[in-house]
Amino acid sequence: MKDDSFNEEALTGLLTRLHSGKEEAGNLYKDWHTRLVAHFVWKGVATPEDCADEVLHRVGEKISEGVEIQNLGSYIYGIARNVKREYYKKDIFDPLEKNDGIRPELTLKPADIGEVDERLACLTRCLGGLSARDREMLLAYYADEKNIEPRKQLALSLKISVNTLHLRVHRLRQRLGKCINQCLNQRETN
Amino acid sequence: MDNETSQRDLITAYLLGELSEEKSDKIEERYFTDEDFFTEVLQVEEALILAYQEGTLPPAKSRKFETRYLRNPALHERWLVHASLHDLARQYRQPEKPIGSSTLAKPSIQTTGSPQVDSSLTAVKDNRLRRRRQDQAQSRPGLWIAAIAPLLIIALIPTILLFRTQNQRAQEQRQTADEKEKLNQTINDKQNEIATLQAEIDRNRMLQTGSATVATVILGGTRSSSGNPDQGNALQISSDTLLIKVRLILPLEPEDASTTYKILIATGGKTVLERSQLRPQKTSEGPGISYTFLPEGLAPGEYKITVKRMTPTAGDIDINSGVFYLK
Repeated sequence: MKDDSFNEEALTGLLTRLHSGKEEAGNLYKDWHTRLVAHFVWKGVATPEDCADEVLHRVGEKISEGVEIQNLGSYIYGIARNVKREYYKKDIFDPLEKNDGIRPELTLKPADIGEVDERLACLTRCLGGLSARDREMLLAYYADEKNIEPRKQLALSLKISVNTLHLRVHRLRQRLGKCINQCLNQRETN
Repeated sequence: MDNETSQRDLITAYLLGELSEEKSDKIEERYFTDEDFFTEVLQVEEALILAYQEGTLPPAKSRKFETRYLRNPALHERWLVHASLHDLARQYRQPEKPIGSSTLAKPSIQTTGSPQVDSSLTAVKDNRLRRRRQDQAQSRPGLWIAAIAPLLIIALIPTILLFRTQNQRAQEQRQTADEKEKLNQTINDKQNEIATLQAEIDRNRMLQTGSATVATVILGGTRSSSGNPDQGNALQISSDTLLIKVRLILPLEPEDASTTYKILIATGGKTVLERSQLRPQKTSEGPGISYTFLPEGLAPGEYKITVKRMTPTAGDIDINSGVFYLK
């Protein structure tokens, strides 16, 4: 078992390193978490959030030990690579490269009416669980997915940068993804 | 091929797992150190999924996409939500789309069946119409204004001269009033600045002490902090807490080193968060497991925590539980 020296102090140290303001630190923490989850998903890791938590946990530990970090992004990436290697060795996760993560029962081309309807029904239900503000932002984002200009206008109207808009939408999609999956599984068993 | 297209192609190849390890590492290091590049990768992924949905991906790339995105659970989830949002946006946007199109197999709907979502879709549509009208109004050439403007100016010259002297007097009076107002504004600004700095000091103090940033719910052991809902003493956590950490102190070291645990967070009988494959770690009080999560999106109310031991033969066995109240 590895030693758990992670405590609130380490986590607070990480947050302070990110920003002196609580709200800004929180937002940056969420941004890093989002980026890590995306990274582990793209690497085919089965539980990307666990790995993301582990990476931030370790970074917090190092900061609380007094390690000086010049480039936080590079440091976090280095830790992410270590975490990924460790989990591949333990065979807990099924990386795409090993072809162990393939689940043939997942639909390849859900092109028939029933599947699209079910997805949309679940999406509608899950959208209902978001706040009106988040829901409208998401729907406005997808109102014209092929053009950049409407999204720039949307970011302007929300008084945020386009990057921040992309990240917020990405986080909402992560939440929706889990919700839709759960909903579809429930419909399957009913 | 220009640089932008070449970069997009490289990112697409990365997402489809077609790059060497060395090239993948370079892309990964870049999106960890450059936020703009990370959002570009997200956008390329979105375009890739859209291309697949519309059937415009070349066959080889389409097969590769299916192998990665539709057969891997985590990537499948990403495809699922992108595809669903595209389908909803398309249905709502194009009411005349014919039956039999690649992703739309029946006439579009103008309602989704959910009043909240319909209301949001209408709000989005109204905002877009309003912005379009505003743009049109601002860009109207107004040739008729350009034609009569010189005549209006000539007619108004005597009137302008007459009011000039009166205006000068009024201006002098206004200047004194303006100066007074500016002084008051400066005082207000300074007071606001002081208040902001004080808030910053308070925040930093909070951050240093760790309070109101991280809340820990401890189950089991001598420091159990989760309450008993029957006794009305559930642990109260403020909803502006950044992170909530659940810790369980295990009574004994698990016999099997490969034993894993699962933590579920539920409200109203419905599981809202779940984390499995948790492994025990050493703590000062003995072996323990922990799970840290963002309470983002959780509504105020009572939450039940259940900890289970995952066994290959007997399924998941409940070993501890607790509650907290998010206020």
